[in-house]
Amino acid sequence: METILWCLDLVGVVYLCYWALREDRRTSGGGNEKEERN
Amino acid sequence: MRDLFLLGIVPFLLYAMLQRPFIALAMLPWTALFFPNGWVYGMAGSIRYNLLFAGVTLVAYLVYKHKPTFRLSGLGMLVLAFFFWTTASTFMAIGQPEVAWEYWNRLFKIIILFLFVLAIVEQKLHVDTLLWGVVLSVGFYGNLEALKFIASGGSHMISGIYGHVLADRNELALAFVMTLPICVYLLGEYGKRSRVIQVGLIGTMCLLVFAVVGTQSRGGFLALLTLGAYLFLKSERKVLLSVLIIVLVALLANFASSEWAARIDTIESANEDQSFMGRVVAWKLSFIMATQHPFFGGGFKALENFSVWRDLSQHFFEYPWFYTGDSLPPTDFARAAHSVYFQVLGDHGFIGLFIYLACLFTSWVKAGHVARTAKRAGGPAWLINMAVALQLSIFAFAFGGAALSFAYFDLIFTLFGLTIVTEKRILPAELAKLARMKEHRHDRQHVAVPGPAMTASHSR
Repeated sequence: METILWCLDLVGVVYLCYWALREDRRTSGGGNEKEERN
Repeated sequence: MRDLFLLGIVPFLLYAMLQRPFIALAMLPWTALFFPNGWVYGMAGSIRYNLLFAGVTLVAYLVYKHKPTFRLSGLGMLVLAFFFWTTASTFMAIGQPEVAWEYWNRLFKIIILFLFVLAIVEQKLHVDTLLWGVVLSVGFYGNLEALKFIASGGSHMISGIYGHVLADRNELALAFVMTLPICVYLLGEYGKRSRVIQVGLIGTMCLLVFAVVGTQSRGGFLALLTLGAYLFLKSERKVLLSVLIIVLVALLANFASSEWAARIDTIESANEDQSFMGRVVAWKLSFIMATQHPFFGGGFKALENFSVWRDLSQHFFEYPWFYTGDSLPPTDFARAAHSVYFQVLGDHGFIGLFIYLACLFTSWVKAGHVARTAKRAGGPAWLINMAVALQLSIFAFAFGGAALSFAYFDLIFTLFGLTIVTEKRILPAELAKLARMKEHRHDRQHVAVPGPAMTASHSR
């Protein structure tokens, strides 16, 4: 049970990173990528 | 299995961290407070995640092309002044120099984290990601241990993982209390977007309350009560909060053991309680150390050095107004300071304490100032809630830390950094946005309502 919850927390961290990356790309047009496009 | 799982996700984390320094920054408090090494027993345990993530954060920051302008502010200067003061006190440490330098090194890493916050965080998404990192570390541990506490019918005593920054159950209890306002803020922001997040955060908050009780920490319980009262005063949903408190108290009554109730009862008779008066003895010896070394104190952990403790004990009766009841300093071992204030006083003298108090007070005032200014200017609700959450968390530390040797906690320095960023970057940006919107609205009104001359020409 402990291991399952622990793994779920890590999945949460992975999702947090994915969500933050997606949100940043969506709202700011993406930091480094934006400049590269320009 | 845990090793494989952890090693499996690390490449993705590193990829995301390298893409955006703010994600890398959020992983720093997560790894410090989650303590991945304490959960694995195989090959994944040999990696120093803290060091690895700090290195990646530095690289991500250096290669990032849109760095915000670095602003230190008065509070930032105070934090740095405190660090320089501790450096001077470490040079003059009266205890074991290697111990003092080891703790200085820990504070140095925390200051690096603080500077990263100032260098990287510039918008709401960055703050939120960092706060989610805290909930996914401290909140997770609170949830897990509270579930064990409930499953055991209240007999499981919660404590931290050996070797972790939150190993001590009193310190763990305080970290749980400090996480509660962060959960409230995130619930307000993300609860409506997803049912899973809403249920998860409400569950986390309830379980954190159980976890504080499960640690059997009296200081933690007092901090929880005080934070609850403060939250109640600040909240605009007093009825909902009252119902929640009544339900929680009713549930807790079923799980709190008689041993816990007996411990909590001793709060009322603190001056007769040997355990509490033992702390007052340590406070007095910290004070004596500061009177002997008023400028730089004794250096990190000097009080816990037995030869220093023994020397200070010889002066124990010099300040009779410092009431310690019948308690005397132990003659066979040294104790920790058991208060962030007396810890800093003993470690870094009166000036060190003054700077530390100034950091706490200034951050608390600044967070309140952001909330008030945003409210007055009609700013977004999230900014007000974020500032209130920071203020409440700082308050919980300042109150709960009064009976704990927990002065150099990663989270409080992170909160200092977030307060600066909220005041110096996020608030001005939001106020400017509001001003632009008002101007735009004003311009549109002028275009929509034609002037008399125009009307006249049209009529002709």
